[in-house]
Amino acid sequence: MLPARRAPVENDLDVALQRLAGPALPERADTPDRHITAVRRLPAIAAQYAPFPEGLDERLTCALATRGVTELYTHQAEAIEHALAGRHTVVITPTASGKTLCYNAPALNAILQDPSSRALYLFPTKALAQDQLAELQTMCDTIARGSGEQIGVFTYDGDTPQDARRTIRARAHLVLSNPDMVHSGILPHHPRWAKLFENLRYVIVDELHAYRGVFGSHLCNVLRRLRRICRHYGSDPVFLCSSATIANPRELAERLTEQPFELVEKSGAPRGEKYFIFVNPPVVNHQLGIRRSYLSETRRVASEFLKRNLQLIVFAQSRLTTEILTTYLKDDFEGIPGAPERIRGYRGGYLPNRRREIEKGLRDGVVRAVVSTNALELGIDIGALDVSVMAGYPGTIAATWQRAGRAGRRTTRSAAVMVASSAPLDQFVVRNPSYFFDASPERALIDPDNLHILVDHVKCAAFELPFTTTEEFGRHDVQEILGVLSEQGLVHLADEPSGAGTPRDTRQWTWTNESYPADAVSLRSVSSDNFVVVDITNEARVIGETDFSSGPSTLHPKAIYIVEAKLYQVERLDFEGRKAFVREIDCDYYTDAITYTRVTPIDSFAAEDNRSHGEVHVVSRVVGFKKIKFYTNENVGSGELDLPEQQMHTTSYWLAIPARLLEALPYASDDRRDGIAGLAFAVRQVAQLLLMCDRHDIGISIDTSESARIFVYDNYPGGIGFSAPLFQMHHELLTNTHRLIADCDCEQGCPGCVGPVGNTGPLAKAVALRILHLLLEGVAV
Amino acid sequence: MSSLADRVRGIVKPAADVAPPFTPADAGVRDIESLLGGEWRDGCFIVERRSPAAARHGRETIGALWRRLDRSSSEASLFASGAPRPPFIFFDLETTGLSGGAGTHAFLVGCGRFEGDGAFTTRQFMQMRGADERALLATVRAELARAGAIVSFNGKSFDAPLLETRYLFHRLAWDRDDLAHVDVLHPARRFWGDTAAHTECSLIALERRLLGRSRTGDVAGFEVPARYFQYVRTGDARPLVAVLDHNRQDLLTLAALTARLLHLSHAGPGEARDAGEALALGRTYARAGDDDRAREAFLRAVAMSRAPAGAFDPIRIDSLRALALAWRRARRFDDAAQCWRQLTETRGCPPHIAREAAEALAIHHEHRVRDLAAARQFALRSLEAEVPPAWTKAVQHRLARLDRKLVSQKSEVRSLWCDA
Repeated sequence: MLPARRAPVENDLDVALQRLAGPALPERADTPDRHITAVRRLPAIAAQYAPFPEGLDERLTCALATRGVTELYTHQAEAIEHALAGRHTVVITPTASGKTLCYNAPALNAILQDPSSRALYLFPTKALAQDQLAELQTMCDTIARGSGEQIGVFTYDGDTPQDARRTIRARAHLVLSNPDMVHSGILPHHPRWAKLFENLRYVIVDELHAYRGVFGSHLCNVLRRLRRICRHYGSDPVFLCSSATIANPRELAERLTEQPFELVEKSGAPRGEKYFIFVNPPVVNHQLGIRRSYLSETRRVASEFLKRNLQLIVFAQSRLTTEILTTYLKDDFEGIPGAPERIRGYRGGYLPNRRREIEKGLRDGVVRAVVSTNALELGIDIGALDVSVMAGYPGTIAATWQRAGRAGRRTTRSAAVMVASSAPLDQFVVRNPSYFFDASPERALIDPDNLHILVDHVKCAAFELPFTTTEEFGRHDVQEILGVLSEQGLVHLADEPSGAGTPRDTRQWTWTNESYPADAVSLRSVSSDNFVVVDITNEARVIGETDFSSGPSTLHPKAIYIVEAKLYQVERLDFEGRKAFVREIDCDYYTDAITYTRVTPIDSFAAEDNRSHGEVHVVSRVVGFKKIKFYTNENVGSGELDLPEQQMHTTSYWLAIPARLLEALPYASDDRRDGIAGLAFAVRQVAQLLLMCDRHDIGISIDTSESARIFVYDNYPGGIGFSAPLFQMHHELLTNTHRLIADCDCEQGCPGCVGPVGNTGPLAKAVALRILHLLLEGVAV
Repeated sequence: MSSLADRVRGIVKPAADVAPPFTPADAGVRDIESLLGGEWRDGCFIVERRSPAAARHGRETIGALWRRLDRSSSEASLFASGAPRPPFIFFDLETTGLSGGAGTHAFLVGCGRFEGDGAFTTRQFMQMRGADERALLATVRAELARAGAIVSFNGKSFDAPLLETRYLFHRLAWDRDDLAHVDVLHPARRFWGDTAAHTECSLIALERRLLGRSRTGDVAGFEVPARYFQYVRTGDARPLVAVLDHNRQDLLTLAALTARLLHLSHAGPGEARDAGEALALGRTYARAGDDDRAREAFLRAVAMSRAPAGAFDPIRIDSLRALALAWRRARRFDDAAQCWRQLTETRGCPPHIAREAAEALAIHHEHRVRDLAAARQFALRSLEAEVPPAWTKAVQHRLARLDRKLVSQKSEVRSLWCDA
């Protein structure tokens, strides 16, 4: 399938790349201090094919042939074989490698062989489900035309109209849904779905890597309830999952479903040669460490490609930056008015029609550049483009590869460019390309036995099906949990045996409360005591929710709150009523809360040298906030706050810096404290990187009583599974923190390493480095 | 580290409506047969009561209700599809919650029916223990086996789907898909709900207004689940006595309301108490395609709605309009025109209805009376007040046509003159 001669586009791309990166293409050594810090070449890969597995229904293979698929890629064949043999399978292969066929084929096959078969699909968002619906419907139409077999495929989510729901329950072979709907709309109403559960052959979970942290912990429990209900109806579905590149796909799949999995990771899909370039805008103020705007840099980079008529996608981190970049590129390149727009902006909030129009424009080549938020990172078919440009580091290695994967013709050369902003993570990655290219991607972590989360789902499960006295659910003793629920009047264990002559252990815990437990559970937060965010710009409407523990720090008065990349400012916080009232705002800064925390270890699960992890008690109070400018990360203001104290129990990792080590430092005690603060700041950045989490998922606290301790705690009551992994990655944590600080260009400290000098003091950087150096020397490799 | 139980206690908040601790009750109050006055039959606990024909429910005797129902039972088809016919079984559930779903079930299925001698018997099927539900469902199925229709209040949206879920849950077949279901809530709203006065249309409110009956010491609907859970946890059946009584009263009231509905439909608009009832009756007949009876009802509604001069009466307006449309359907155009005219003269007539009336009169005068000048007047009137653009276009189209006709009429006349 390689072309006989070089296509003209390749020359254009080469020219553009050379203009950007210099003449030394292909690969050259990394240069962390230069404008272009890395140029890596990923060689072309030829396709590897395999025949259709035995056992695939002829009507299916015929339909596939009609659509041009006469043989499969090796990974597709492998995955389908596992699925047909009844083995749970997780596929990780890059985007545009045809992974949907890996799960669609077995599902369709099962239905063709037995029309009573059913399959349930889970997508993290409704938009993704809609996109897959179109593809599946086309497939089913082809099958119907060829063989006359009618296969019903429908989405079932919050938008499905009431009168359609009954029909779908009766007629859908393939039900496309999402975790929230399964949790509150399907499982609690399972008697109406009896046909589905009795005949459930496959459960398909797409974008598995999205289910990490709190969301993943909830999903695990939703799947526990699902498997419980399947057992009740006598079915035992096979799980088919697909995931983006993470370090632990099999582990994640096995933890989420509590079943053993086969892993398919070697892709047979072809890929043209790809160049990956890292760009770091040059420093314009050395003392403060401020760099040239990365947006202008992105504009320049994109222009090089656009003016050679290459097709590209530009990813931006926020709606604001998406709009700025769209404006820039339109200014530079938009053609005559009235002609079809060649530069388009895109975000998830657009109406489906508009999104379809842009996607089609990309596929047809009419749209030459699209500037998008992460909405176009996953799934949706936009064809393959010449270049993918990322304005800012996407936040995780996995997401970066996803976005880079949007560029990549099957046979011709393509390129991905990452332009770093001055945010610490960006700077770290762009200056340490090997961290990105050579290290394995992040591990996705969950903690489904967090008691807060588990107990909520035990309630939902009891509502769905009474618990027996010998049943298990999760790692904790569910009988004991049910006992406590019974004290609170939620469930009841019958005193007498149920029915004459039945043995004692067929007694059951029945739900004895009129509430509907699923309503009180949000799959994206740990407790139901959430803060609700109400937008009062026009008519009051709810636009989001935050965990109770993150509430004060993200929703304090004057905080900037970001939802779907749109900016709002908090006008008023009703703490008792758990409501925050926000108004749309157009500004160039974000806010960061100043929180005083006191962390007290309650129990240590493991300890070694100067590190430990275990259960802690956290008391925190938000006392003020800083205003931080976007892109440059300068401090542009601050404010004081008076908010109630919060307490919680959670898990934490902590690092002790021995008193004798501190005393040996040639610095005054004030400067030593500054150093520890700076160190903590940097540790937080790196921990975020290693844990693949958001800023608010973890909290940092410093204890300077006798020896200094730095705590990195899970910012959710009960913990969410970050502490033990951090404990294990301790060495990596310290080494990368050292690199982050040492490699930073600034003199005394900056937002990119230990924090702005104004906050941390003039010697913070030096002291932090010294401490790290000493710690690392003492730590065994 | 605190025990698992302590940690869970720290997390779970007590349910608001429950008062722990739950001490098991003494044997005396556990004797449900004597306490509730019921017995076990085939694994199901049944409480049966009989209200004699001479007893009163509100202003009427039960026997009187029965006679009226019996005479007018054929009218039930006006209120439900599926050929409802006697014997009617009145039907009301008491449940453990309002949400539906696998964890909500009906612990009490109340069924009532009239006997041949005019008495009203209720059979209340109760789930006293967790394992009884299957027996309950099987018994209810047997009870309904020979019913000609079930009658409920909001049963189509709530009671029936909930029961359906329970049958599905227990994999019990429901073999009466043919059973007609008369849900009285919707006709009740039409006949007796008064949106302008915001009068309540709950069963209790209707009982008060229409039957002249008020309850004392009745248990409120939202208390019912808590009483049942109390019994489940402690074995004390006393809280259930009031629930059973409440359910029985609901069934009787349901029967009384149904009797009134059917009687009214059978006897005709002469029996209507007010214009609202007559109007609703007319609409009911119209929906069933019975135009003659519908017109009669609308006429009566108009007659009964003679409000004091100058007062705004929405029922009068709706009745006039309904009557106008009914006359038009029957091709009695002059009668229709009279109604439209009355509407244009009625004070407080909403603009869209006034417009409609003016337009109808414009059409009437253009095509039937052939009084083009009058037609034009009415067409102009229909443009008064705020009108949507599409309407304006249509009316202007008509005006243009009328003008053309008027001009050609004049020239016709002139040419006639000339020829002569």
